[in-house]
Amino acid sequence: MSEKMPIVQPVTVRFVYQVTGVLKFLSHLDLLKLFNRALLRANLPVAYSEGFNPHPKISFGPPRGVGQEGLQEMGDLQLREAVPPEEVCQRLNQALPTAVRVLQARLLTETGPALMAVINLAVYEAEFPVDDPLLSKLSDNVQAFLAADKVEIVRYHPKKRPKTIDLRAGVQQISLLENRLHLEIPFAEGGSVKASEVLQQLLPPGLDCRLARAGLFVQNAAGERWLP
Amino acid sequence: MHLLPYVDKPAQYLGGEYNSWEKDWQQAAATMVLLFPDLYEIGMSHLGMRILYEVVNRRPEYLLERAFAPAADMEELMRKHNIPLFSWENYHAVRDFDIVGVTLQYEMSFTNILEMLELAGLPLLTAERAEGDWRWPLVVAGGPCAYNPEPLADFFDLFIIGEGEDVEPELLDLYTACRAEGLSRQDFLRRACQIEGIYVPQFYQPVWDEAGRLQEIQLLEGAPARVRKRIVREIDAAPFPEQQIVPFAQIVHDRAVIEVMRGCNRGCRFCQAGIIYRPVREKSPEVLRKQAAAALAATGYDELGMISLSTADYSCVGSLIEQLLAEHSADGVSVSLPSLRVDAVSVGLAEKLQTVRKGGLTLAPEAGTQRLRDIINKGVAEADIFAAAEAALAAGWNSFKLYFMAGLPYETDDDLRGIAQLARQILALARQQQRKRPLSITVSVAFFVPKSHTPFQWFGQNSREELARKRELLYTEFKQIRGARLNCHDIELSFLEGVFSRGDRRLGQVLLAAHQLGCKFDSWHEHFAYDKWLQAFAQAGIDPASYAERCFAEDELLPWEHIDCGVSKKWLWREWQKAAVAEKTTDCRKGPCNGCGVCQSLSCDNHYIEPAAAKEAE
Repeated sequence: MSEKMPIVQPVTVRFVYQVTGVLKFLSHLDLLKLFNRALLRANLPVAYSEGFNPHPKISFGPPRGVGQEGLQEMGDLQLREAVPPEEVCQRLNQALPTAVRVLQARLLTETGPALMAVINLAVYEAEFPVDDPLLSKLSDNVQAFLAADKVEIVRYHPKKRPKTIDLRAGVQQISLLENRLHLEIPFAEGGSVKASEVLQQLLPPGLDCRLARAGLFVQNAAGERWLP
Repeated sequence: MHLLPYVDKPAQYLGGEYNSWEKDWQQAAATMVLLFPDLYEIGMSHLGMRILYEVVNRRPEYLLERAFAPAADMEELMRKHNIPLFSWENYHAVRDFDIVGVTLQYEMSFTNILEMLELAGLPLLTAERAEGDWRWPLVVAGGPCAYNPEPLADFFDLFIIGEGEDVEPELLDLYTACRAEGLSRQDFLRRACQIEGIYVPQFYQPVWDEAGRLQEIQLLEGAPARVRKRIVREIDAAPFPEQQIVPFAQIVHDRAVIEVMRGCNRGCRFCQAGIIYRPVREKSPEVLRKQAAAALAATGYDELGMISLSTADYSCVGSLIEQLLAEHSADGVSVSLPSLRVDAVSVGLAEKLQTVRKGGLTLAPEAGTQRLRDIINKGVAEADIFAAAEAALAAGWNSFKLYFMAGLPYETDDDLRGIAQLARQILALARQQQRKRPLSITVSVAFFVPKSHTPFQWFGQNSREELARKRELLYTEFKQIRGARLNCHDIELSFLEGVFSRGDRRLGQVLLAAHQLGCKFDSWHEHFAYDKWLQAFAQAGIDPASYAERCFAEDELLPWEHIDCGVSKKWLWREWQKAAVAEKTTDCRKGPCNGCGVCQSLSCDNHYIEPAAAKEAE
């Protein structure tokens, strides 16, 4: 096991990872713990928070819904000393279950705002069985959704009051190409709509799909977007 | 699993956790599945299951997988979609395994066992499964409740008595050999009952007299008269799972563990574990350090639990903790103890660990007066309690949790008032100091349930009315105490636990009826349905009070007497007599042999590490 080094110059590694297969059922908290343990198994020089109960300094982008795959998720990891990003990737992947993969990593040259603060757009992809006869019905629903001024639903919460939400206002873009639905949802102040809520509104009964969060982006007022 | 999007906490149903075994089903000479009759978060916290999982899977020719009770929402969906109970590793149907093993941890999980067997599509009764010879898997059980297996005797082909590390592979060896020879199920059982530690209940037929008292147990098929428990004699050499499974979902005890010793030297007269896990076998500190380092490296856990019945009693607990902290705290690893002894030394240990945040400190004096603590042979003096409290207050703890029992043998109302008195005295102690925050005390009272193979096995539980009166008395006392809160366990649940802990084979039909009426997860408050249980007893024509509340006579044959834990009945009776006059028995770590008979009977002495030798090894 590694000795605790005097903190000279902590570095931040920003990494892109994916969560697929059955591990899409992990909650955000479960995934955080999974990474914490993989970090210890990988023997990386993780920086710890100060305080009574020190924990590894790792943070993620906005939580994903339980049951959605994540194809291009983002995380920041603070290390006590620099380790080449490729090595971080490789050592983490050895310690992670195969359904979670770190795809790439880079050293941040300056510490900017947290991922949670900069990411403001999530892109979703839903895949349907090819040639399902219900797809044309879905297409009609998408058109009707786009044409509507408002699509209101009531969101129920076990501990909060029911809340009326306008799905239409919460969706930036939606398109159906053959058996793939592309959905863009910006993160809004005061809460955004959920991809699952939009799908539930659009899906004709009996049509099943595989839903994945395909990417997380920073988008400016001009509509340009890039990876954080 | 296409049901997972529709259930709560789906991560609990995911197999393939880090460090779980992946074995080839086709290549296995014999397959076995271990059923834990509770949720994943409980079952995966259990060390025994992890040990057996390791022991069997280390044998290349055998495969052992795990299954847990699905939560109510999942179970409903499984029934709706006709999905039988499956193993977590590969989603194999439980009924396709050669052997189905069930762990018996607690009487009130018995209905969950029937529920799981039914969900697996297995006939519940051994007699039903015997039809068609090998058409159905063998259904076997082990664990602490196997020491009185009689209420479950109708449902299991065999029970494993004692520690399973050695017996389980032997059972698989015998199974494989018998199947290769083309022997029948019955022939297999005839051979199995000759293995030490294996109890085949159908070869033991209880006979009751007209008054309903057990008269004798008739032996069939040459079965041995007594089934003696199995133990591991060389504890340092015993296989231990270092590659511990790291669950995806949060479980109750989410940490890496080492088992520092087996057995307990204290001899509390109410405690079944203290008797059935005898003799004490301590592991050497070198082995423990090695196992701790390996487990931490293999799991990535940041917490290490030092498990045993009473870890503070381990001979070199202090130096071991220091070594473990020195070796691992730089990696952010903390060390924890499952329970504390009631004295200042233990509180000192807890402070050193600092894993318990300065919020709650738990101590278990068990009884409110010295007289009653002597009766139950708790081995805690009043001075110990106050010393522990003072040490904890000085170290900055702001709240205490105190555990007691009510309904103990020879208990009087003064003993109950003594519980309140203790709380008052500790609060007064805290008030003398200048504290920033006042001390708060939570007192938890469980109703005593006599267990088999203990000195209190002859004792009939207090009636439910008497327990309710005692509960009232306690609440009245505590209403007047500022800063103390009282919680009492469920009387009805404790009563049913008492029925089954000292029950006999006739209770099998009650279990079956309760299961058919929908009883399950009885120990989960929201599921417990007492009225259904009463209906089940009525259907079977059995008065539950005649089990729970009846005292056994000295010369009476006990329903579990043929299950031999190594401690003699004579010694247990002597302890019961000493309890009547509040005479203590010294801890056999500290004094001469008390003659319980376990070391002689199992040819295995208590094995303590010499603290001096441990020091030298440092």
